[in-house]
Amino acid sequence: MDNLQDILKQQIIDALNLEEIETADIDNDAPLFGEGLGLDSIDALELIVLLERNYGIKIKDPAVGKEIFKSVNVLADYVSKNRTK
Amino acid sequence: MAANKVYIKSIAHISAQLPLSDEWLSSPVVLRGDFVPACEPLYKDYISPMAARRMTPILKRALVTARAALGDKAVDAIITGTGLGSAACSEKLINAMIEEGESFSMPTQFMQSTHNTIGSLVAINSKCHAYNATYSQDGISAECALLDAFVQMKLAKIKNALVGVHDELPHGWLEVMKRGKITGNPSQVPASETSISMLLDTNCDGAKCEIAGIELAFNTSFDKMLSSLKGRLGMPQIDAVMTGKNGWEGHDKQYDELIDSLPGVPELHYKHISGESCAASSFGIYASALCLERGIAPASLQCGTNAGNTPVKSILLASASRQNKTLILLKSCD
Repeated sequence: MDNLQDILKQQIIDALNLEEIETADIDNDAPLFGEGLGLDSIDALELIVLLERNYGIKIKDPAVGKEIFKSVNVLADYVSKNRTK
Repeated sequence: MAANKVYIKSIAHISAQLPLSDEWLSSPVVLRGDFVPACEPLYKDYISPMAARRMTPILKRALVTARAALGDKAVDAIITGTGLGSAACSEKLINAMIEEGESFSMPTQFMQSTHNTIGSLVAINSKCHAYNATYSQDGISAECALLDAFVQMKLAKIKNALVGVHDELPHGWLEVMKRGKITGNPSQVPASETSISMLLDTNCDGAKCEIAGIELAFNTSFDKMLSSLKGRLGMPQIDAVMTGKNGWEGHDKQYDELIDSLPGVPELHYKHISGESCAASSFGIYASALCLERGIAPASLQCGTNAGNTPVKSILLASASRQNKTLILLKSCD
């Protein structure tokens, strides 16, 4: 799980071009949106594409998206249970 | 009532030369090779990393030059000229779609892959929500944008405007332009990238120069355009002609008739300093404005021509792009 969390953090940094942030700067339990990293709705779209491209996960229900992007830990848990690649 | 006069109050550039600086007047960077990218400033000094993370180079350049030209001033209009628009963004989007078999989108690239993105971003950041227009007319986009502002100011519809001219040249576009023999021709200056923002105002206080007249024409000779300009402006004085010659004979011969019709008028060039791009003529406007502000043409623009130290109070700026031709007459402030 730790490994997947680190991989996800690096993929988020790369996909969202967070040049000033390193994986160690992201708290696994901190919210990704609003506070914490301070991501916005366009970032949410980018993360949805990231999940589909890298893990074969299609997020069609906005409520699911809102839930799984709560933190890196929640996201990693969802990915590990639902990934198809 | 006499029509308003239109002045260039301030100009800022990011180009192949040292950014946001007039140092190229005395010490220009020598451009070599097929392509010279824009020399970028340290963007962290101007834009926060979180805000800059979605911006492609052209957006950062537009924002920084706009801020430098505008300062804290609010304007009545933001008018943009760009030949290729957000070319790097479009190229990235299309390449990704090809690689992924059109199965995935790239949200940021998709949204920003339009020509209007540049003017919109400048408007949002400067909180100018008034008139906003973008002209994409190949190598005369600068003149089209300038003409819009000029006419509206002459008609007193607006008092000031920020005119931005921006073009970037990503790798794919450069290859296309080489194949189309738009760049990379014998003796031609390198292709490059240019971003210029200029503040125009009807108030002459602290202005660099006045825009006296603009002519745009399709498939017409410079001779006829000059006659038209002279007719409208009453045979104005022309102290120098600044041409868009780029070193390639096939392009430069278009200016011969104009030079011949202005015997004894010194000729100046700028594309050996700016490089060639859809936005290059905006560098010519910038260079001319600096000459008029200083009252003299620097040696870096003379290129072995006969301007010498002759005082310069008016410059005719000529530009040719395929079948389009433009003339702009700039004068020193009264």
